[in-house]
Amino acid sequence: MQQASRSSDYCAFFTTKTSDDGKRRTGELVEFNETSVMFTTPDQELTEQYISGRFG
Amino acid sequence: MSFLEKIENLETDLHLMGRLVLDALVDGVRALEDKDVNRAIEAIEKDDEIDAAYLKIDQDWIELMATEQLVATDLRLSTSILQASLHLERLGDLAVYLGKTTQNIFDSPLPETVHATVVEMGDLVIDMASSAMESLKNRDKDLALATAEKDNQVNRLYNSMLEVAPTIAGNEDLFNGLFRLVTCIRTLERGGDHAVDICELTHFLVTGKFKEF
Repeated sequence: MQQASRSSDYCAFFTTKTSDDGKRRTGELVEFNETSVMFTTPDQELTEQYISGRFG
Repeated sequence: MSFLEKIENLETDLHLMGRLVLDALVDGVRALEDKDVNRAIEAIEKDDEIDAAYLKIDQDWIELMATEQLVATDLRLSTSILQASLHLERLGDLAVYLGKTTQNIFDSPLPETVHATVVEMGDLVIDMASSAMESLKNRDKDLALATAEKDNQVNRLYNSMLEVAPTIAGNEDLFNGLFRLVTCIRTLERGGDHAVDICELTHFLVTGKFKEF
């Protein structure tokens, strides 16, 4: 993640969503943003939680 | 210790430092109001503890930066803590200055209006510093803005004294008291600015945007 923040101008955060019955996992684009915004004031709460090490 | 605990500890240390600074400011203002040299010494002596608290926050912050690669809210919080600690350190210096002024004027006659105004400004700065720290603690940007607006009153008192002081400057008996109190007024005006700066940090922490109050 540190490499991504150092070497890019734009970043995307992808994760997977699990279906309610737990059988299917689908890829999801959570946020695409300027790297400087992504690592300081991301638009999505999920992005914030991921980049700040709350999960993953 | 997890990085979350480290940030929490840093914030706890900041608020403990804030408590120390507020106590020192109360000692300084009350000492000056009552010409109380014993209380002046208390205001002055608290500064060593305040400086030690500042250095600890500074060192812990560097370690946090070096090891935890903080981002987003964590980064804003830790940076706000570091900056707030510097403002608190300066407010601690203000308390020392009030104490030292007390030592220099306790046996001098004082111009009453100027003396009363210094005390009024001092109480305003204590109130602002206290609310500024509360706004930072509770992530309360409305309280931050309301607190910053109180600085207008500090500035009004400062400007009114700039007009009053020259009118009594010719009185030799009052000169020592007047001279010392006028330098306090200047220092208190800066104290209000430090409280406003802490309010700006609250706004930055909550919104991610810098706004000058």
